[in-house]
Amino acid sequence: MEGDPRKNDQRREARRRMFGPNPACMLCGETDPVVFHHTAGHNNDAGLEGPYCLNCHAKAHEALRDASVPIKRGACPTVPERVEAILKAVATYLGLLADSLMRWAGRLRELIDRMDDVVPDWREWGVVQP
Amino acid sequence: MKADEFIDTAVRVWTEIPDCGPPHHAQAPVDRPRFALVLDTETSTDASMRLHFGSYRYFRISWHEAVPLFTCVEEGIFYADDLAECDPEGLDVLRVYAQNARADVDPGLPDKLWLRSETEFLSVLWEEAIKKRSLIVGFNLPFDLSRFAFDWGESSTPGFPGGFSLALWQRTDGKAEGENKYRPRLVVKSIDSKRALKGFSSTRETDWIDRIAVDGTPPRLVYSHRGHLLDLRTLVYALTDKGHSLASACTAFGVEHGKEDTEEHGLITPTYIDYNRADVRATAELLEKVLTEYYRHPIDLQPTKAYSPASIGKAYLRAFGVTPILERQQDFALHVLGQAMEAYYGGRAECRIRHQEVPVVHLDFLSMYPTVNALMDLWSFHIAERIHVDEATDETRALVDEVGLGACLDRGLWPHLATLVKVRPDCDVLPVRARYDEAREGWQIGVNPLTGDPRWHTLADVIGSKLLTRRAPEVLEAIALRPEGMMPGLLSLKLRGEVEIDPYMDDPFRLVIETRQRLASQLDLPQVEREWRRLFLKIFANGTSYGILAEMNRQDGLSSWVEIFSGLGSFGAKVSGPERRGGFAFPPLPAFISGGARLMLAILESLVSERGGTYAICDTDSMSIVASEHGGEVTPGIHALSWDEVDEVRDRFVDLNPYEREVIGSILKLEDVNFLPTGERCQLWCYAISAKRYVHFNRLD
Repeated sequence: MEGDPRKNDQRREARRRMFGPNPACMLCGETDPVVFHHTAGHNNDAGLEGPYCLNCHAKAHEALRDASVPIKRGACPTVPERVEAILKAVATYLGLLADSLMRWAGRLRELIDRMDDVVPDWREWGVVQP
Repeated sequence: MKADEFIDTAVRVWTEIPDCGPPHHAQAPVDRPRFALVLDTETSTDASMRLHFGSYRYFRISWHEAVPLFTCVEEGIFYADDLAECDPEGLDVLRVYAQNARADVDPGLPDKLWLRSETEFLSVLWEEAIKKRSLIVGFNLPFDLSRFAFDWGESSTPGFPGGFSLALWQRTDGKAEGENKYRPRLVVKSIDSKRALKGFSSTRETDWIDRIAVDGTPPRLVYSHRGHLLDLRTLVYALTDKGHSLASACTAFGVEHGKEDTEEHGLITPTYIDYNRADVRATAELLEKVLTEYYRHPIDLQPTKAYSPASIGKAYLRAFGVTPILERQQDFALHVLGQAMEAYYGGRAECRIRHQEVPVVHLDFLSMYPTVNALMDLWSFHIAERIHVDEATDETRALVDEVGLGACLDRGLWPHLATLVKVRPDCDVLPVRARYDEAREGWQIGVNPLTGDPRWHTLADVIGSKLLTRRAPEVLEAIALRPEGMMPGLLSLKLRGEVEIDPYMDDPFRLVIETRQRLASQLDLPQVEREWRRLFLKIFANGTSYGILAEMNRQDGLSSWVEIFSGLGSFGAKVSGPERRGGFAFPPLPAFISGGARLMLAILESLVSERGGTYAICDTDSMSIVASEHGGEVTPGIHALSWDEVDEVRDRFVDLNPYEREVIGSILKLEDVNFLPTGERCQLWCYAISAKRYVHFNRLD
């Protein structure tokens, strides 16, 4: 039961306008809900952003804290310090992306193994030939 | 007037405003609306019509293909901020009403009936109109929104010159009074009683998310959303070409809960609140019906930008892939446009027999302008890759010398009429714009014997003169416009999602008129629906085949240096209220069409004259021929044809029928006024005093 449907629509519409009609998390592909995550922190680079699901958003911030990336206002008062922060932040993102890609690769490996058991002739299908 | 007296005449010209860009056309397509806020206000009954209270409904709109499905998720009442001082009893009534009544929302949703002050409702309006970009809907919406204004000025917003700028939002931070500069103003510029341009102005600062344009491109440095403000009265007019009240619009569109009546206005009672809520419900149901109809049309035009059937017509042309002629052929000779404007006149309207009752048969040409458009194959100009202007003096002179009534009744002549002719008029019957009555302001147009300086006319008018005078006007020069090729990439469309039109194979206007005729016999549809759909198709065909090609928009309040192109040459001048051409304007085509219509009337007049007859009046596409069942003398000098003779005249037009014969048997109709309501033929009479001032009647004796 919605408490205030009109306000709910306003929130969803703002999100839709930010992300477009079918947003998906940059790391895991989850579609509902997504939020904006500033990869290097809003104070370091407000334009470097993308859609994340709530779970990956939390993981991304945890990774920034693990890497001691300063993201608070005033934490990087000079350009070199800010660029250092941005590079470390992008590195943590790439690390998360790498982990995510490895997970998807693992899922694909599971599918391949399962198909070998159930449909062993799939390897001869024309569509899977390089 | 003595034969040796001359009077001044005037001609139209083509103007170019230097450094003025091409006409602006509609915005990029936007998504179909997903939310709508429908509102209605009730006001005091004195001249100020101040806000007392009102109500609103908020809808989610989902779409099943092109059909909108409305879900009401909130309903509320709002009241004027000063109601506690002006009408405390009324405010109490509203409070008690809101506590006890339930909102008329869809099942499963909170059914609280909100009660909001004017200031609180304006926050809702801000959220919906600007933050969420919902459709804001009312019937006569500018009136309702203007009830919230506390200050006004003259608009300086581009696109709204001379309009009203209304301040709706006041400061609510408690630090000072006055206008909230972080909220827009509502700008309204009236077009006529049914239509107004309306939108929100820019604001001092805009949140970055609100700087994302409606087409979804990244946030711009400077962007203000103008609002999706939908006046249902305007959209109903665009779909029906008729001014409607809420009540009549609900009837026309088959709304289940139409407008209710009330005896009480001004006094806030539970009955009056029910009445207001019912108005909002009626408006919302009408919105659903109207949007369902509107989105049948496969066009990219926001419903908030559909101001007339011509707007929809233009959108269809763009949907076909047809670009305006002057947009794709920017080097088209401006002096030819000037010559075409000189040759351009409106319909022929005359009174031949004044102040005398005469028996008549009233005939009307079916969809005159689309008909002559089809006969002259002018659609080929719309889709041509290029339009050539060929010198054609010798062949035109030969044609004018040879042509007679028989040739005019042959379809083969008509495609050759896309020609402009410079004549030296010498008692030739031609259209002219003159001050016939010095006591009256302005210029009047007449088709009459003309002697004077050389001037440009359409070939159709020149041939018409020959028919009526039996003498060929002196042709000094002629130019023929010829379309070459067809634009690539044109798309087939279904008119209203039903009638397939291939722009390469079909004349869309001919198909529209045939569709209109078929609709007349679709008795499974309610009559009221058949009527407005037929009227829409008629005006759509007229507006798109003719009206938009002659569109000129006067820029009131502006003064500008313009380049003027006429049949006499070109020159510059400073003018107030310069004309800016409409997006699809191309004067040769409307000149040819109206000339063709005048030729049709000249042919009809000739056929009547050769039988010894005459006519009482003619009016653009119709003529009241003096006729009675058996014919004979009416008064000395006025001979009535018989009904049979009139039918013979009608039959002579058989070859000029460009439509499917099974659908449209004849382009020259015996109008309904010639028949009793029972369907029985009766004698019609006509009494006229001047052009367009006449009456048809039946005599009881």
